[in-house]
This record gives sequence, structure tokens and C-alpha cells, in this order.
Amino acid sequence: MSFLAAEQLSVSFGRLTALDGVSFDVERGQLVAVIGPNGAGKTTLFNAIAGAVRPARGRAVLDGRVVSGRPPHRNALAGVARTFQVARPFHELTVRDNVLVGLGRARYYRLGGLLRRARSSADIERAEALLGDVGLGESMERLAGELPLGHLRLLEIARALALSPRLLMLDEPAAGLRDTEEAALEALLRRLREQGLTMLLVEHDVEFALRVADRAVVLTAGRKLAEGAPEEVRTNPEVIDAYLGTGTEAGDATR
Amino acid sequence: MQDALTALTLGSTYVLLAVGLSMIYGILRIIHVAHAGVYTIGAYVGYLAWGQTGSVWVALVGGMAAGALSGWLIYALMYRRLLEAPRYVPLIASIGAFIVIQDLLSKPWLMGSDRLAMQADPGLPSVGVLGATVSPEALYVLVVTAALLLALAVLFRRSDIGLQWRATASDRELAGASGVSVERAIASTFAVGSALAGAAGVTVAVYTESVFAFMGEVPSYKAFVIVVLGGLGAVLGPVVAGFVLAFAETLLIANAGFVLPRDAIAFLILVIVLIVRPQGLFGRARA
Amino acid sequence: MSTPSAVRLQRSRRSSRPPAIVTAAAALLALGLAACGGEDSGAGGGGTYKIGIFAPTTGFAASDGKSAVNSAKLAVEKVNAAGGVQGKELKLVVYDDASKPDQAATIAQKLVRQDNVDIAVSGSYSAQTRAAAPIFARSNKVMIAAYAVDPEITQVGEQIWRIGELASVQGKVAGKLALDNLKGKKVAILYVDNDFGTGLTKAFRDYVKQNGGQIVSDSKYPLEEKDFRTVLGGIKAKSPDVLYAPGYYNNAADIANQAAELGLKAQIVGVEGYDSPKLIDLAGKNAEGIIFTTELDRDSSNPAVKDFLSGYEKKTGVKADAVGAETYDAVLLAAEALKRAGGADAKKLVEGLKEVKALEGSVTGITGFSPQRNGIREGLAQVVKGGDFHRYATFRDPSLITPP
Repeated sequence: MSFLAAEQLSVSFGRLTALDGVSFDVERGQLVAVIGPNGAGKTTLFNAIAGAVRPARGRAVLDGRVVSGRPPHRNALAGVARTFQVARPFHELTVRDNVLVGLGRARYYRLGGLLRRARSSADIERAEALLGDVGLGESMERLAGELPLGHLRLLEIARALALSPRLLMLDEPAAGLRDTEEAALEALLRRLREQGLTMLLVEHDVEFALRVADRAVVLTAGRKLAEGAPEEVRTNPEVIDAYLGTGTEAGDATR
Repeated sequence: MQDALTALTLGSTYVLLAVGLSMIYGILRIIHVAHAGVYTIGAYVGYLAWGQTGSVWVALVGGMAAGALSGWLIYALMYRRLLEAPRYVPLIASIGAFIVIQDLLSKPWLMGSDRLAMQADPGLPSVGVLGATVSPEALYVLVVTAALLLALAVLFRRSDIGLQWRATASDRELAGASGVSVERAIASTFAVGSALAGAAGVTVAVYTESVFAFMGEVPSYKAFVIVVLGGLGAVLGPVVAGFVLAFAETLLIANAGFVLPRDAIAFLILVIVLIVRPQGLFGRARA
Repeated sequence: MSTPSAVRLQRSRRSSRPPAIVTAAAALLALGLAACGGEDSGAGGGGTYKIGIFAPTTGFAASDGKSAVNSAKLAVEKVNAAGGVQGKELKLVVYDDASKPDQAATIAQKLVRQDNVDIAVSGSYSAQTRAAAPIFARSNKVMIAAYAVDPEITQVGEQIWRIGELASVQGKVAGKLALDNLKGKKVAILYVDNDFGTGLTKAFRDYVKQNGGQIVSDSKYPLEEKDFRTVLGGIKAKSPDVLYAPGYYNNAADIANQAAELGLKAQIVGVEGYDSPKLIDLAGKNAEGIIFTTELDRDSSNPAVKDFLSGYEKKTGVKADAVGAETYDAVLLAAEALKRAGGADAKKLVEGLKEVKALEGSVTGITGFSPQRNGIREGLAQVVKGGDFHRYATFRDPSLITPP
């Protein structure tokens, strides 16, 4: 039994089928890239696994537990963390508070925990350590809304890591980053993988995705086109035909 | 100096009401007109508690508890069912709830339509400040306001629930995805914001020495002026805006008399500020 | 017949602001209905006379409205207990105008067309009474205003009469009170910004200026105002002997409470709007010593007044006030008119009213009516003492107390 299993996941918006019977497996500790052209259903796939949209058919199972169709905050507590395609911090909170939100979750549902101090020194240490890990150690007192995009991407990850996730889903973390920032991101992802974190990565930049991933799933028009090790995908004629030939250019164009 | 103290006291009553309203706007983006109904309920329960015990402190606790409970009920029974509806739906529901509360309270078997006398003795001294006098009633208003605002600041900045409020107000969906109990954050915002409205009702009752079923009428829109002035949804903003408004009113009346009704002053300032700074005095313009 | 009263109607329309449109429309409507209706409006059915009354029994003036209605009922019971009017019982038809002029106009039409009352009483404020008066005048029904103060109300037509004391009289009496009885030299004025406050203040101000008083402060406030600390602070700085503050008991209580808070020593002189037990309720010990002009003398030895005071308290559980006394007298006057006319014919009612001198059983002490159909009585000031109203002074000088 794999750690994460997507089983025939299908999502429809009205008459539009955004995801159509997609199945794949992720083993514990793997980093799996999900690639495909615009509108292929990558973000919808994340939403379905996180519980943000309800699948019409099929399900996603994390470590023996169905996660699709459950409220996102329940999944968050169960260790499903994600970042968003459009960087989405708590704008009005400081960088440190952005991370503290996730760290407090264990107490939020206990009755007596409500009035407890958020800034317990253990939490603050952990928040600062996480921010240091992603390279935001210098910006902890700033309001998140004031950060440049590259830092926002890193903050998104730190905030997700605060949930001590068992599965981390990253939605285009490299979009809009400069080369040095992208290198730092790549190093961070490798470190996280070494620590044994299971990750799903949606990425427009196919080269980046295939460089860091253990395996890749290729989607097009809501269906799975191919799946395999990065080299297999890269050389798969169908993939080249449908996507890689033009897709890389499209990906580059967005940078 | 006496005028400054009057303005400070008046501003305190504005601020207590407006802060809760701003918190609720911040977290649900709804125009909670019925907040002024909660304020009246708080004042009335405070009046009853004072009648039983003679203590303005018991009155305060009673008024705040009644405020918290009624505010939470309004959320649980009404807004929670309307979260996905267009924003005018909760607004209309809120206006309706406010009218129902007022009409109910003005029934002869509750408050009636007359002012009820509440000549409460706060048991505080009269304090002289630079040749001016702070009456015991005014001192009560100032002490209660300062204590509650301080407690609120601590709650906001230092507690788990405060962090959840801020996170939920900032991005409800993301807060959920970060493990925040959004439902609980919203319900507790209502409870705490409404407790402050109840406290506002009780302090105004002590300060004006009376309660009245329609005492919420003017505050129902004036609190909004303050919230908009302060930058919608902010918490520090309405505090400053409430005092600014009270000082402006007092200054104008002291120098020119009642050249126009007090509440017209509020709207005049609102119009001017909205022209000059559309995001309010302290709001941040956000894309 | 129609030309002169149309002229009068226009005059009142010009003076009364927004409600005038409603009044005019209502009057026209009533006219139209009268033209096509044409039912004979003789005496009411069988052995009764119907008296229509409107008063604000809900809304912000509800306590005045209830006082008016209860007092009217008391008067009806009194008359009926004494055998009615020439054997016919009085019957009251009551409507709530909620302090809304347009509602008062609608009620006036209902009373005329639907209830076909024999005579009407206004237990309401000036704006409502002003809206209703032309409708009654047009329909040739007699209406008696209890306590509305606007002088123009009775000018609508000879069918319209008034019990209450005109602002021009009461303001003058207060001026005399301030300068002579209280020996005031420096006088401050703080009045409610409406017909009531403005009218009283004008008469008071003129009297004080003509008789050597010095007005050191003269300002107004909006009806809804509750915080007077700032203006009272300004008044205190001028150290006046007397503060004349026309307004209603709500305003008076706030002013008294806040004046005490600020240590303002001036003697507060009020008006009939203060005349409610609610003033003492709301201001408590701060009400002590307030003196105000009014129409109901609690210390009167007149059995009619004693009867009214005790009867009202027995009936309602609360103490009577001036609004009630005036409405009580309005109903008595209506009964007197019916008696003198021997029926409900409007012409005969008006003839009868013109002959009334001292109204028998009157609790406000009516001694006759002026050419403009306003009640004449002694001037009266009451003082709050020991948590109750008591007689402070009376004024008999005809040059003071005779209304136009």
C-alpha cells in the first residue's frame, strides 16, 4: 500500500470536467512532480487532495485514511499542508506570526487552550528555526504583505512546514523567482526530501521539476498522460508530442 | 481642560462600541447593524443587574455576558446560515434583527418606550485634574474602557485566540488550511466584540444615568462612521477614530454651540476623510 | 365659505414646513371625499356622543400620549358618572398617531368619515395637531387641542379651539418669574431647537430685554441631544443667576444631572415640558429646586384638581402631569360644548364655546377663551421639592397671561 494514493479522482465544475479519473501512487519520502500544460488540472488535483474541492468520483487516500472530501482544516490537522499558486500569506500578520498560526493548531481545538499564550517560547523558537531554514531569518518582524515575491514563496513553505506535515503540496513554488532564489529553493526542497518529507510539486518550469523530483506525473486536459522517473518522462514521445515541445516555451514565457 | 475630559469620556463610549463592530467586520466582512441592538441589550441587562445589586461592577459583568450571549446567538442563528450569500443578504437580515430587538425591548413588559432612570453610584471618587473635575461616572467610563481595551490588546497580540482572529480576518480559507478552527474563531470574535458592545451599553447607561429601548438608534450608524474612519476591519483604527470624533464634536460645540446636530458632525468628518483618504484614517489600501 | 378658510389654510401651510405638503394633500383628499360622499353627520348613534381623540401612544412621545389618553378616559368616566351630557353617554374613539403628522392627518379623516365623531380632541404635539386641524375645519367638525402650543393651530378656522397655554404667554410668565420672583440679573438661555423651544424662548427673551435683565448666554440644542456638558461648561463660565432651559423632561433631566456634575449653580427655570414625574425619576436629587411654568397645580385646594390628581393616580398607578390635565380639560370642554349646543351641530357647538367663561371642573383653571380661541388662566410656576411638584408662584397680571 502506497503512502498517498489518488484513485480515479474526477472533479467537475458544472459541465467542465477539470479532472478525469486520475490515479497515481506516491511512496513515503518521495518528491513527485505533477507537470502539464495550463488547464491540465494540476491545481485542481491539489484542491481535491486537500479537501478544498469535492471530487465527483474517486478519492485520495493518505496513509490509509481518505482525505478527499474532508474539510481542509481537518486535513491540515491530519498533516496535509499546501502552498498556493498565487502566494497567499496572512498579509496583515508579521512573518513570524504567519508561522505561529500553524504551530498553535494542536491547542486550537482544546477548550482550555483558547486563552493560552500564543507566544510560548517553544513555539517562537520553532517558528524562528523554520524561518531560518527557509532563509527568512532576517525578516521575521516584517508584515508579510510587504515581502517581495521570492520571500513570499519561502514564507509559504515555512508556514506549511509549521503544520509538521506528512504530505506537503507545493503549487508552483518557483514561479516568478530569480535564478539565485530558484537555486535556494531547490536546495531547500532537497533538504526537506532528505529529512524524509513526502512532497507533491506542481511546477510550470519542467526542467526545475524534473531536476528535483523522484518521479513525475504528466497531466493533460484533466487526464493522466504518463508517469515515471524523470528520464522516462523526458523521453516519452507522447509527452514530447503533447506537451514538452511547446510547454517548456510556455513555461519560460511566464518567467 | 474640562472639555478635553468630556471628549475623552465620550470618545471612550464610542470606542467600546466601534471596536467590536470593527472586529466583526474584519472577520466576516458583514455590516453588523444589530451590534447596536446588542449594545442596548447589554445596557438593559446591566440596568437590571444594577437594580438587583446596586453595583455598577455587577452591572458591567451582567451587561457583558448578555452582550456576548446575544451577539453569539445572532451569529449562530443568522449569519452562519448566510455566509455564502451575497453581502446585502446579511446586511438586510442585520437591519431586520436590529429592528426586532428594539421593538421587543420597547414592549411594556421589558424596557417600555420610556427612558428608565439609572442613578448608579460607581463608588468611585471625584478626581480633579488641572482644575477640571472627573465625576465618578466619568471615571467609571474611563477606567472600564482603559481596562477592556488593554485586555483586548493583550488578547489580540498575545493569545492563541487572538492569533486565530487575526489569521481568520486576514484570510479565512488559508486560516483553515493552517489548522485554525475558523468556526470557533468567528464565534469567539462575535462573543468578545459583543461583550464590548454590552460594556459600552452599561457605561453609557451609568454616564447618562438612564437606559432606553431606542438608545441604540444613533450609535447604530455612528459606530459605523467610526469604523469606516478607522479603516474597515482594523482594530487600532476605530480606537483612534472614536477619540478623534469625540474631540472634534466637543471642540465644535464648545466654540460654536450646537450649530448642527452632533451626529451630522460625524458624517461631515466622514465625508471629508473619505474624499481625502478613501481607505479611512488608518486603513491600508489593498489591491 | 370656502374662500376665507382656503386663505387661512394657505397661511398655515406656509408656516408649517414639511408636514404641510401632507396636510395640504390630506385636506384636498378630504375635500374630494366630502364632495362625493355627502352623508348627513348629525348627532352620533342613539344615546351617545362620540369624541374622537388622537395621541402618540407609541414612539418617542408615548409617555405623553398615554397620559393624554388616560386623562381623556378619566374625564369621560367623570362626565358619564354624572349622567352624561343631557342624558347621552360620552364615548371615546382613540387613535395612535405615533408622533407622525401624516398619520395624524389620516386619523383625522377616519374620525370624520368613518367614525363620524361628534367632536374631536388632539392629545398630540404641534406638528400632528397642525396636520389634523385643517381637515376638521374643512369637514366642519370642532376640534379642541389639549396641549399643542403652535399659535397657528387655532387660526385654521373657528372650529379649532385650544386648552393649553400659548408659548407667548408662558415665556412671558417665565421672564417675570426669572427677573422678579428669583431676582435674576444675569440670565442664560439654552433651548430645544423646535417650535416649542423657539416660541417660548422668543417670548422670554423679549420680556427679559424689555425689563432690564441681562442675557449672558443664548444657545439652542437639537431635540435628541443627551450630552450638554460642553455647553453647560461654557454657561458656567458666565456665572448666570438663572438658566432658562425650555425643553422636555428628558432634556431637562440630562441638563439637571450634568449641571450638578459640573457644579453649575444657576437656578434652572423650565417649562411645561418638564411637567412629568419622569423628570424626578430621571434626575433624582438633581431635580430638586427646579422651577418651571406649567398648568397643573399640585397644591390646589380646588376639589376638581384634587379629584383629578387622586383619580389619575388610582387609575394608572402613576402621578398625573400637565399633558394629562390639559387633555382632561379638553374633553370637559367638548362635553360643555355639546351641552350648550344641545347636539352636535358644528355651528351651535362653536356658538356654545364662545359663551364659555370659567369651565366647570377644569383642572388647569380655564377662566375663558381669547378671540383666537385660546384658553385663558392664571400663570403658574411649580417647584420640585422633596421629590414632588409644589406650587411656587402664580401670576394674575392680565398683560402677562392673556393670549391673543
